[in-house]
Amino acid sequence: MRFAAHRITRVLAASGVVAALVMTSACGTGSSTGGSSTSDSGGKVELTFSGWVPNIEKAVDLWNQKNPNIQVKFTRVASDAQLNFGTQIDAGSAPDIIQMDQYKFPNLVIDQQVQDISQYVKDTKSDFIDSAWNVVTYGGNQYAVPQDSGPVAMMYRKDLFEQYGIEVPKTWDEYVAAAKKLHEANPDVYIAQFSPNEEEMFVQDIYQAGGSYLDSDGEKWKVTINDKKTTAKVAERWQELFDGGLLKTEQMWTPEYWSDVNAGKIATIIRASWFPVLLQENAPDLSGKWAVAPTPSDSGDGPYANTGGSVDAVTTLCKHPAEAAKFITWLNSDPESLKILISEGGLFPAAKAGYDLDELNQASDYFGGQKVNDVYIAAAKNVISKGKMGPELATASTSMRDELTKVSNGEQTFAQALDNDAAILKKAIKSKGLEVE
Amino acid sequence: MTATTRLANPESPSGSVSSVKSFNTAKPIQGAPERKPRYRSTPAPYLFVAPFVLLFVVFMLAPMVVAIYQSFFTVKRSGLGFTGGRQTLFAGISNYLTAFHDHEFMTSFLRVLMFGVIQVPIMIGLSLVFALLIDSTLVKFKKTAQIIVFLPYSVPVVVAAIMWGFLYQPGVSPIVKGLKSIGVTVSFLSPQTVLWSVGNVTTWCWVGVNMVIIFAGLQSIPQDIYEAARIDGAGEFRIAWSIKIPMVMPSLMLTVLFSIIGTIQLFNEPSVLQSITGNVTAKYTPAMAVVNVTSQQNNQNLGAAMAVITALITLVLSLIVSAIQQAAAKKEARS
Repeated sequence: MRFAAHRITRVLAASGVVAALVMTSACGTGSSTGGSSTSDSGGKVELTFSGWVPNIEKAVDLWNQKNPNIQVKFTRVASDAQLNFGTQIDAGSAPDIIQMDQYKFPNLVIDQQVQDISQYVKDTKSDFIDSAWNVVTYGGNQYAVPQDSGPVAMMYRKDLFEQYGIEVPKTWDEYVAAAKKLHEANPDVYIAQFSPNEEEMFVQDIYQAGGSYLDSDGEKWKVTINDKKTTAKVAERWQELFDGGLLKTEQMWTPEYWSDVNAGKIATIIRASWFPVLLQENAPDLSGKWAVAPTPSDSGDGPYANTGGSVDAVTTLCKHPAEAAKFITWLNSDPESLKILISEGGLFPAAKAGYDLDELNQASDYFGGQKVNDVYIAAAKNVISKGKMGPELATASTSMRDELTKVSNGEQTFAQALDNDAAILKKAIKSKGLEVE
Repeated sequence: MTATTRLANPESPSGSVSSVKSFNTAKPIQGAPERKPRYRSTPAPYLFVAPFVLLFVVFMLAPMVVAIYQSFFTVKRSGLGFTGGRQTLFAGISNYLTAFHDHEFMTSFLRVLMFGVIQVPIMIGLSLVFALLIDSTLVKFKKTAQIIVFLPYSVPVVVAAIMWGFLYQPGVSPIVKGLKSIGVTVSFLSPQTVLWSVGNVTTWCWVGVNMVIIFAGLQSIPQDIYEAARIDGAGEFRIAWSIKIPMVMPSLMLTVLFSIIGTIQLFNEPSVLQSITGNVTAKYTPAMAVVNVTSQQNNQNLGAAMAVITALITLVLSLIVSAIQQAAAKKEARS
C-alpha cells in the first residue's frame, strides 16, 4: 500500500506539473466573453468597444445620446488585457472596436485581425498630427484612428538650476555641461536618472534624432535601431553621461526612484506629456519647484520626439466597419468628445482640434503657474516622424530593457546594446515568416 | 518490516494526524488471512470518480493535448505581412529546435537548476529544523511558534515579493541603510545576488507549509519507539537524528519533490522583482520565457513547445527524485 500510495502521488504530481505548465500556453486558446455587432431590422447598429481610458464612458454616453441608430456599448479592461485581443479575435469573442497601444498594434495588422478602414477615415488625415497618423498607416492604408499622443518635453528643478547658477540647457551640449556643473556643485544631484526598465527614455532620444526601430522599402522590413547615422550621437551622449557618473542608475517607478525625486537628487526628467501629473502625485511637496521647458535638441529649437500613445481599431469581427469608423473618428477628433477625454481621461489628444481647447492647457500651480501643455503642444507640432511602426516592437522594447541592464552593469556600451537589440528584433521578425534585411 | 509504521500518509498531511495516530499498531498482524478483493460490476464507483475525471479531462488533459498539438505547427506570413494572409502549417519539430537554440531559454533552466540545488536544501532544512523543534519536548509555546513559522504562507507570494522588494531597494531599505551605517555595502539586486534575493522570498513563503507537512509526518511516529529509545539511553538529539528524520523521510522527500517542481515553475517572485531591477531579464525562468514568447511575441506555437519541454524536464526530475526515494526505502527495508 505504501508504494501504491507513492505511485499515485508521483503520477498526480507529475501529471499536475505537466498540465499546469502546458496550460500556461494553452489557456490563450480558450474563449472569453465578448460581443459582436448585431443589427436589428430597424437599421439600428450596436457596437461593442473595449479600452482603458478613465471616464471614457462619458464620451460614449454622449455619442449614444446623439446617435440613436449607432449604439456603442463600452467595456472597461485593464491595459494589460490588450495582449489578449489577438486571441479573442481568432476565437470570435473580441469586441468590434479595441484600444491598442501603438507599439503592440502592428502585430494585429500583420495578422489581419483588424480591418482596413482607409475608405472611411482617409479624409481625416489633416485632423491629426503627422506623427500620430503615421502610426495607423501601414502600406499606405489606415487600420485605426489615433487616440492620444505623447510628445516629449523636459521637466526641471527650477530652484536647483537657480541655486547653482546654471542656465537651463537648450542644446544637448549645454545639457551635458549642465550635468557636470550640477554634479560638481552638489554630488548628490544628478541631471537625470538612468532606468533600464524605462528604455523609452533612451529610445525617445533616438526618435528625436530621426531614428526608429524599423523602416521599410515596401517589400522588406529594415531594422534601423542601430543605424549609426541617427543613433551614434545619442549613444555617445548617454555613454558620456553614464561613464561620468552623472546619471543616477535606478529603476523608474520604484519607491527608490520617487524617494530620490523627492529628495531633490534628480534635476531633470525628460518624458512625455502624461508625466507631469504623475510627478505632481508622487512628489507633492515639491510644488512650485518644477518647471517645464522644451527638450534639448541639437539645434536648440527642435525637432522633438513623440513617444506615442494608443489607437482605436476595428476588429475583423465587426460587421459594421463604416459605423465603427465614424464613431472612433468622432471620439478622437470631435471637440465635444475631446473635452471629456482631456479633462476626465487625462488624455493628450492626437487630434489637432484638442490643442486649442482650454481644457488641455490650464495653468498649473504645481509648476509655478506655468501653462505646462504650451510646451507639450509646441513639441507635438514639431515632431520628427520618420521610420515606421512594425512587427515585434514589444519584443524589441522588452529586450532593450535587458540590454540596457547590461549597460548599467558595465557589461557593454549603449552602442552595443543597440546592436544586440537590433539582432534580436531581426530574428523575431524573421521567425514570424516576414521579410527582413 | 517497517513499511506500515512508516506510512506517513503524505497525501493529506494536516487532516490525517489524529487518524494515523489511532492506527498505530506497531507491528502488522502476522498470518492474517489474505482476502482477495472481489470486483462487482456496479456503476457506483464510476459515478463517484466521474466529477474528478470530467474536470481532469476538460481542464488538464484537453489543454495538454491542445498544447502538444499546437507545438507542431507554425504560422507563416509573407513579405511585410500586410498582404497575403497567414497560414498555419505543420512544422514538425522546428519549434522544439528553435526552443533548444534559444540561448536565454536554455540558460533559464540552468538558472533554476542552480537555484534548486541551493535554495531547496536550505528551505527543506529549515522546515525540518522547525518541525523537529516544535515536535521536541524542549520548546515551549509550540502552537504560537508553529503559527509564526506558518504565517508567511498566508501572505500571497506576489504581496510577499512586493514587500521584500521594498527591503531590497537601496534608497528605501532599512536593511541596506542599516548595514551601510556599520560600513557594510550590500546590493540585493545585482546580477550576482538577485537570484538569491528571489530565493529568500521563496524560502520565506514556503518554509511554513513544508514544516507543517514534515510535522504531520512526525506526529504519526508511534510514541513507543521513543520510549524504547529513551530506555536505551538516547537523548533528544539522538532520537531526532536516528528515529525522527529517517521516519519522516517520505514526507521530507515529498516536500523536496514539490519544491523542485515549484522551482522549475518559478514565476511570481522574479516577475515582481523585475519591476525594481533589470537584472531579472525577460526570460529569467522557463515559465517567464514561455509567457514572454506566448503573450509578448504572440507566438503560441513556440510557446507551446517551450511549455512541453519545461513539463518534460520537470517530469524527468520528478521521476529521478522518486527513484532515489524508492531506492533509499528499499535499501532500508532490506537492512
